[in-house]
Amino acid sequence: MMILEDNKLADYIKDYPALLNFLDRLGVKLGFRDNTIKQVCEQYNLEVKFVIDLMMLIINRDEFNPNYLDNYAVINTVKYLKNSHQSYEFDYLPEIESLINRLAELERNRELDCKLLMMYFKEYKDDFIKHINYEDSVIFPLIVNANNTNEDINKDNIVAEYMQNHDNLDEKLVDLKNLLIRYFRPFENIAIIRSIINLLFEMEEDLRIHELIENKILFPKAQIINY
Amino acid sequence: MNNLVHTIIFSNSFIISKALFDIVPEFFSRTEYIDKCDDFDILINKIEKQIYTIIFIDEFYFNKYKFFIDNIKGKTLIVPIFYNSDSACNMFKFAINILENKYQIHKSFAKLVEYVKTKIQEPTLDKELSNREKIILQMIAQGLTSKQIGDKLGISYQTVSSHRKNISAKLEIKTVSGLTVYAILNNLISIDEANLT
Repeated sequence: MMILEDNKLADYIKDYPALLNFLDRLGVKLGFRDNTIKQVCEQYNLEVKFVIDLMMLIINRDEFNPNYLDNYAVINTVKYLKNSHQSYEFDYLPEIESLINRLAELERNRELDCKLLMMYFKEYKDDFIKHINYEDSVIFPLIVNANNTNEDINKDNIVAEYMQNHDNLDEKLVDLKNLLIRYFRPFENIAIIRSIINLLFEMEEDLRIHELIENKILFPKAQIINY
Repeated sequence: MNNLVHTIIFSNSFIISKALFDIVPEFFSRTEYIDKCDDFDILINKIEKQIYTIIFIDEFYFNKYKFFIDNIKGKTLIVPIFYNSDSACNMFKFAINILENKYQIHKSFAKLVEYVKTKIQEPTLDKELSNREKIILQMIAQGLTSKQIGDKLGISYQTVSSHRKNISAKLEIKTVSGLTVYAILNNLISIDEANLT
């Protein structure tokens, strides 16, 4: 799908709800009426080409071919990814955690299972936060610097190791979903379990987009696509 | 079978690739689109890691990279995308003619699926863990490494790794933490014995 700057932003949001998170991370608030992408970008001081490329990626996924990759600053992608991290750390993960706590309060006779669920989740959460903090404090500054200086940042296999860790975290999230769907005995409070699983699906989907942005936009800009 | 097949759409044409990107996932879930390739080593490396790969390639690339196509080894099926039925695609077991109607295209894909099924041996897993696998799973849940498990059971590291792969495939759980939770839920180990943080 082609996205043009003079198209109305609201028309895309109606069809692609994944763009809601995207706007949130750019700091764009809803209620933009019939404003075009260009008008909204001007209002929020965003690079139009960057916004269009990211929207294309979210909508087209693997088919994505960036139109303007060379035209925008790597720092904007990094800023966007950092905002995503904030959303995982302060929205998604606490929400899932509070639902598991609520489940434990309501399912008193399932103490062991709830404890197990919480232990697994906390381990995932701790690893995840450690990973994104590392990304924010080490990987992203390296990439920004490499982009400015053309320095080879792969000489110490930093990126390769970090990508390996990435995969492991993805697997942990998928395992959690699978354990809840297939292996925990049914809980009484189906609504809570459904909410947890829905959030896991949403986060998994969002992480997929996050990874695509890294692989298709950030890393190519830093010349590390093959890692 | 669907998940074992990696499909690559290799086309210069936006219209052809767009159409295939809509059609192919109906039959094979893991689809990737390539619109240019500067380094065939990367592509070959990618193919070698897959259980089975189908490359849908259009006439432009087919002619341009004939040498490369002729040299692809391993479990790979080349499916040329042509718009002229008299052309070189007759040399291939399967070809997609873009002038065909929806029914014919679906029929071609259905045949393709049947063919690929015969080419890959989908593991017919008994989902129940064997006693040996249960013992290994208990040890994994206790936090032992493959080397330590091998030493304890008097088997090689490779045999333990192979058991681990089978356990993960049967349960569809890949991480040690996930396997540990499974082991506790199924009373193979108590929560106190498990290596959970």
